[in-house]
Amino acid sequence: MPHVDDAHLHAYLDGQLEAVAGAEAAAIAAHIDACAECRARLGEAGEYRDRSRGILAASGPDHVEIPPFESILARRRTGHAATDSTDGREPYADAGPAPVGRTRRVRPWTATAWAATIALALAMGWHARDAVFRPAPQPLAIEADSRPSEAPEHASPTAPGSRSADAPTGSTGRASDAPAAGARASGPPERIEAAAADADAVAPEAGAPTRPPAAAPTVQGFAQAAEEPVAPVAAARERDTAAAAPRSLAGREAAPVSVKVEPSRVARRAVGGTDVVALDDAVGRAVTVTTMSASVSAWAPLDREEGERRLGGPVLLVPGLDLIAVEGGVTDGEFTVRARQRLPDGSELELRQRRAPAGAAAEPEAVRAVREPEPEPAPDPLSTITIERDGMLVTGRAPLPADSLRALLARLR
Amino acid sequence: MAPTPRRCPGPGQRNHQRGTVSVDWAEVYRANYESLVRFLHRKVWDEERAHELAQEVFVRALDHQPDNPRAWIYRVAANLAMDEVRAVVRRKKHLTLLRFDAESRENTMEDPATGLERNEKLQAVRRALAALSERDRDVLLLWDAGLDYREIAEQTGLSPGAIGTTLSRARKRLVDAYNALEEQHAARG
Repeated sequence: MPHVDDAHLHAYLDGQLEAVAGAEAAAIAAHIDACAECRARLGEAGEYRDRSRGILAASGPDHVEIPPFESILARRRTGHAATDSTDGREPYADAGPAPVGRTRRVRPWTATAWAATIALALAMGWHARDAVFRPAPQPLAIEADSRPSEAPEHASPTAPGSRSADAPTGSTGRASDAPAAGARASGPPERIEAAAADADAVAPEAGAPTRPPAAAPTVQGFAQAAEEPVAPVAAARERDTAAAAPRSLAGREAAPVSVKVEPSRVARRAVGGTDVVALDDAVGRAVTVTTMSASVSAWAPLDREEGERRLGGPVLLVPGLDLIAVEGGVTDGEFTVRARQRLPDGSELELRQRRAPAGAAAEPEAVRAVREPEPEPAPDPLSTITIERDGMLVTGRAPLPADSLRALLARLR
Repeated sequence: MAPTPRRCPGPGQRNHQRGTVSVDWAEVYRANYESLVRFLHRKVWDEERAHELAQEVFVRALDHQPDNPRAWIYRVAANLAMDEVRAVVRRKKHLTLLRFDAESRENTMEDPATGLERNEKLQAVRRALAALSERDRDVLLLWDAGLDYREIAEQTGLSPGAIGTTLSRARKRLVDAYNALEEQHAARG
C-alpha cells in the first residue's frame, strides 16, 4: 500500500479518519501503524497540531465567563436580537423580529444620507467661517483677518456704553466696538473709511477708562497681543485711520457704506495664555475660537521629574499611551511642559501643561472644545481642547475628533 | 457512520415520531458558548464584542430553531463577525480609540509588564493568522472551536476529504508565521 497522504494522515491524527475514508479507514490505520515513514510524518504533523493549538490558545481570552442561559432568554424576550442584512445568507433568512439593540446595522442608503448631510453641514460651516474671518481681497486687509488661524479676533470685552449707535456718517452697519470695526473693515475703500469713521466716532481718547488696558484690542492678532499686552486703543485707531487717510486725501468722500461682515457681539476672555473668543456675526452665526498660546520659546528635553518640580505639580499623561518625549519651555513668560504621546494609530497627542492662573478655576467655561481654524481644510484636522485639572491648564492637541480627544483628556493622570 | 462530535456534543436529537428535532438549547448554550466566544474573538479581536455577538447568535438560534444547532450557530457567527469586521473598517479610527480605552482600563488592573507581554502575544497571533488564506484560517478556527470535519465541510463548502489537507497547510503556516514573528521580536531585543 502506498504511503498515506496528508489529508488522511491528519484525519487519522484528528480522529476523523472514518468520516473521510469510510471503509478504507481500517486499512489506512493499519498502514500507519506498520509504516515507519508514515509514523514519522504523523509525529511531525502532531507537533504542528499541538503547536498551532497552543498559539491559538495564547490569543485568549484567558477565561470566558458564561452568562446564565436565562439572560439569553430575557434578551430574546426584550427583542434584543438584531435582524441583519440578509445578503441571501440562509441563517439570516428568518433571523427574528425587529432590529433592536447595539448590533443594529444601518442600511447603506441611510448611512449615505447621513454622510451627505454631515458633509454638507461641514462644508457650510467651513464657508461660514470664511465669511467671518476672511476679508475680501484688497490692499488694506487687516492682518487679523488675513490670518485667522493665528489671530481670530482680539477685541476687548464690551464695556458698558462702549457700543456705538449708528455711526455719525449714517452708516447702516451694525453697531460694534470701534477697534473691532477697524479690524473687521474689509472690502472696498469706502468700507474702510466707514469703519474708520465708526472708530473715530466711538473710540475714546487714549487713557479713557471705558476700555481696560489689560483687554486692549489690537488688530495684529493674539501673537502680537501677547507681546504687547497693553496696546492702547488709540494706537489701533490711529493705525486704522492712518490706513484710510490717504484715500480720503485722494479726494474720495467717505460714503456711508455699511460694513457687511461685522461681529455684532464680541466676548473675549483670556485664561492664562489661552485666548477664548466668542463672537456672533451679522447673521447671528456663533463662532468660537480658542487660540493656542503665543510666543513659545524653544522646547528642550526634560525629565518628567524635573518638569514636575518646576511645574509645582504632576505632569499629567494619558495612561497607556507611549510617551515620546517630555519637554520644557516658556510660553507667555510661564514655564510650560509639553508631553507628546503616541496614539494607537501612530499619530501624536500633544499635551501642554502649565499652572492655571488664579482666576481660571472660577470660570468653568474655560473648557472649550473647538477645532482650530486653518487656512485650508485639512483631511484630518487637529482638534485642540484645553481643560483645567488639579490647578493646571492642559491643552491637548491631536488629529482626532473633538469628542475622542475630550475622552482622552478625561483620563489624564 | 456519522461522525461523533469531537469535543462539544451536539445535543440535537431527532424526534422520529414527529420528524422534528428536539433541542435542549440550554445544553447547546452551555456546551458551545465558550468556544463560540473564542471563535468570535479570533475574528473580531474584541472580547467584549465577541461576547455580545455570541449572545446574539443564541438569541437568533432560539428564534430560528435550526435542526443542526452547532453548525448553524457557527455559520451565523461567522457572518456576524464578517459584518462586524467590515463595520470596524468603516469606523476604524474611532474604534481603535475605544478599544484602546478598554484595553487600557484592563491593563491598569494588571502588572504593566504582564499586560505588555500579553498584548505582544495577541498581536503576534493576530498577525500570524493574517498570514493564512481566508479559507485556511476559517477551517483552522472552526476546527479549534470544536467542529468536526463534516461540519467544517458543510460550512466552508469543501469536501470532507479536503479538510485534512487544508488543516495540515493551515497549521504549518500558522506555526511558521508565528515562529518568524517571534524571531523578529527576539532580534529586535
